[in-house]
Amino acid sequence: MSIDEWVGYGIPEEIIDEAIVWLTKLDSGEMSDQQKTEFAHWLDDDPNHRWAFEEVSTVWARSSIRHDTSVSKSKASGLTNHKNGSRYYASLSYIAIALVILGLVVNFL
Amino acid sequence: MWPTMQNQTHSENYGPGWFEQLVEKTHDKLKRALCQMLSPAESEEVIQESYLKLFETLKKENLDNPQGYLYRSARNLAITRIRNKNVAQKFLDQKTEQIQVIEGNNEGYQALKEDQQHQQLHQVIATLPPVCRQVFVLRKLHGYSHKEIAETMNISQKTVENHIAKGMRACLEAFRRPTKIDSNYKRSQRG
Repeated sequence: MSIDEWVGYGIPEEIIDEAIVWLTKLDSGEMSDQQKTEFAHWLDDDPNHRWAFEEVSTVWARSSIRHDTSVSKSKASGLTNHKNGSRYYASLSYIAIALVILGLVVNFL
Repeated sequence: MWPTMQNQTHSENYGPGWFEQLVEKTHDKLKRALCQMLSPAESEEVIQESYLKLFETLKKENLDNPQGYLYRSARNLAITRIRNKNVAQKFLDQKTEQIQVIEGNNEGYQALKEDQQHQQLHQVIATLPPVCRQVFVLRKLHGYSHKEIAETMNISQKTVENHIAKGMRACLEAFRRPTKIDSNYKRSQRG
């Protein structure tokens, strides 16, 4: 099932913001064990939390952008472009690993 | 209310009475969350369907996270209901031109939709404030770590996180933009 237009439907905006904050922390790859525990509790605390996090994660995964875009040509100036490709995919692994550890990979699509 | 999970194929990992405990732990939370989307009666139906789905699934396979599965099932069932109701309402309203016929050409429709979303995404990223945009692109396109971005741009890692969160919020809005179904549903609910 495609959830695109239903992303975040009926979920309070402040919970979506919380989900984004957690996702960003996960993306940093620098969450402490205590933070991971807090995150797991947060997810279970309210169905809205899990829904928000899973749906925000889906958007995050789909929002990957490629080099052939106008955005990539005009932005990130002053920085060399030699770091890309495999590095980009490697960077996704922080979240992928964290999700697997937390048992979050459920059949929701 | 629920048949015991004992002696079922995959019940040994969860212990006796765990399903009842799960129901006790999750029922009211699910009810509150679902009532944001559906009537109390419909919410209750979705909850019962979700427990049943979990129960049936656990007979066939082991789940790492039954509660997560339950929550996701409830969400999917609720959205399916709303979507079906929405389509039915359009028929009743004779708004047939608004009904997206996707049967038979689902792949083409999906590809078109993804393409539109991709364009929307680029537009959104292009309109982010410059520093936010640069942080977001460095992370999402070039795969720099938060730490590397912080060092390169001479900002704190916390600031990097804030910019990425802001970019993420904007991307989310791009994906949510086609909210025609949403607003029609709300209108039909009000009317």
